[in-house]
Amino acid sequence: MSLSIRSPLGGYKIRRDSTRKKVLDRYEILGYIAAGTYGRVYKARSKYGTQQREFAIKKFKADKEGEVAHYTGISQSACREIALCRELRHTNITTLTEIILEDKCIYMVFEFAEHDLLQLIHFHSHPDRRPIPDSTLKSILWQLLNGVSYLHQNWVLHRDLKPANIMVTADGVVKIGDLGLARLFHKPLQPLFTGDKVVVTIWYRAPELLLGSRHYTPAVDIWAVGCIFAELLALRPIFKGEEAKMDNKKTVPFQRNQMQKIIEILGTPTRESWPALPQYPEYHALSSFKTYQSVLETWYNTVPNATSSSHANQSSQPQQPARQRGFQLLQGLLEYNPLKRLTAEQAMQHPYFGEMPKPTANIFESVNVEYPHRRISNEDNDIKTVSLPGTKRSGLPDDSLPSRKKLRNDH
Amino acid sequence: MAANYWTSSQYNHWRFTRPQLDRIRAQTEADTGFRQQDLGEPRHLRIFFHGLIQALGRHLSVRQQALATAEVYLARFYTRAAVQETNPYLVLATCVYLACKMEECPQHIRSVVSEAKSLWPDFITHDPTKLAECEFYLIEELDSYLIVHHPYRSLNQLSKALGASGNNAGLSPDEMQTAWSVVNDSFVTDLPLLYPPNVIALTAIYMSVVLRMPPASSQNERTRTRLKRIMDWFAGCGIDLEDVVYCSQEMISLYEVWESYNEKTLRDLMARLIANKR
Repeated sequence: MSLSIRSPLGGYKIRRDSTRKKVLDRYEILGYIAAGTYGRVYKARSKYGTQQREFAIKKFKADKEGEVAHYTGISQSACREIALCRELRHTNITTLTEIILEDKCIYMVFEFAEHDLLQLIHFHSHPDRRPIPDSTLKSILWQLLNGVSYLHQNWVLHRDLKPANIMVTADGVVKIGDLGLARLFHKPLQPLFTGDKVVVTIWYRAPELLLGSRHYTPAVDIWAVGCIFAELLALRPIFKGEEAKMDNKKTVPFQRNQMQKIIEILGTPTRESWPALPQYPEYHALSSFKTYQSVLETWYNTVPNATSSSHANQSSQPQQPARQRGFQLLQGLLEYNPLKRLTAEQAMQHPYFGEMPKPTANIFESVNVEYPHRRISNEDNDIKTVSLPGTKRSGLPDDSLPSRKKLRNDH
Repeated sequence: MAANYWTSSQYNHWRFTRPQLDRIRAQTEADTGFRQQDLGEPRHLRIFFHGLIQALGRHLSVRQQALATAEVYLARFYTRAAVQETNPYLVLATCVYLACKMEECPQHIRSVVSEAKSLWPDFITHDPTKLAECEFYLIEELDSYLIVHHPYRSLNQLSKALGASGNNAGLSPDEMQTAWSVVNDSFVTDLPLLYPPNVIALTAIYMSVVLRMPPASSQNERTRTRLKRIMDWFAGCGIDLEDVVYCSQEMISLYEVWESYNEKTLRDLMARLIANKR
């Protein structure tokens, strides 16, 4: 076989292509789950093995859409996701089964998870239904922190934790998914802010990032966990700000409305409790806000959830300290000062988790709720198509699933 | 995992014993029909590739750490593919391109291609899709394991620990420099496929200190005391010294082979390899 500069991989390529197992030889595509900036996710079943296991196949789109796909070099974020998913192994992180590189496309095959937190929250937010049971809520939070703790111990920042990215398997195990924005933080050859300015969906974005911080730390993930905790309690986002879009000059705007939502509940941050505050680039913007006192405790006590709900009131008194512990933990996660914010390990040691009900390995244990299965569509389950209509060419990383966006606006 | 070599993919999937590595290479020869021995001394070829990677790295101003990752990618790739069935200039440029992304110092694909083309105009076209295509095959051949641990960090830790172990035991700046060079040169050998980074780092320290000592007869009391202290520390540092001795022998034997290395011979060999197949 010829080897030349125009055909530089000559015989190697032919040999390799002939032995590669094809995606469609290995998996039967059951339907299409979702799309994002990266490409699409399909539900699939293995054609081999007796167990009929189910998978979610994430297909990265080729860079150029339409016409003929070209090799253009794999994006750095796809490289990071491939490398990290291949290395990480933990009960509370989605398991990568394999990666298939075929016809200019990358397929990442993950174990399928039947639910996600956004879906659970939406299910419970229906007016006829009850809040998320205490035991389920606590188990979700504990498992989420367990996964985050593993990531941080391994110097990985997730940077995009939000309910849609937290999966739950049919047997009730929380799986942190979508490491598309995750990065190692132990050896930044470049400061972590270069390359990708906008990180974490705005509702879950930590105040130091809103204030223009140039240094991401594990604390940004913990803030997001705090927001998710609050959302599991209230069944709606605690800080639901409106995103200020990037202007034509490509400058990153100050997310004034998001900051406003946070200050309204947590009060105006002070230099006394957060000494580094004046050093943030957007510090001056804070002076134009009205001054607020923290109403987090009031917010927490009016949440129609957990122990305050009708069935819990029957056993009234002993529940009070437990309720207080939940508030303390929430407060520790939503601490303004990133240096004082709880770490994942500290949060897992919090007395909240020592009280009954204890967290369980199956979040659905002793709960009689039948959650709906993940919706899949059969309109477009041709995984091999080159063009992927419905995927955005570019955009901010908060690419929620289109079918979910509608649900979200229902809140 | 990313923070811990002992749970990493490098430890679990890309570390072999010498017999295992020999078997993998024999299998690749059988699969491809190309024999390694037809290309002469394998280490001369590795020295040649090492030089090419360093040259491309200099042109792109890439950090040593990223080049080290590129060298490991290249070494892994050619355990499973024959040099003769590929264009190694393209493959190694691709290794540099991918390593830069993984080490968070990304280079635009067009810069990599144009620098490679300016260095090796006979072997690289200006078409970046060739390199992008090669990246797919490279990642596949690496089984998508892209995070690599290097001896540099261990070297710093070990030398610090040695320095803290007692008076005068620490490395002099000269010795540290030598140790760094030994680590850099270790990428020319199979050691990164065979041993953990801390063993290679300790080998580098061993070679920089012990092998540079004057012969026992001309050692003064001070030198003898220091050597003893260092050997005691070696014995107690938890790394198998037999491995260190093996690695040192590999390095010494590399330096011997390096004496007979002639770059032009290799350049001509590559030219024949690629021209013959045109």
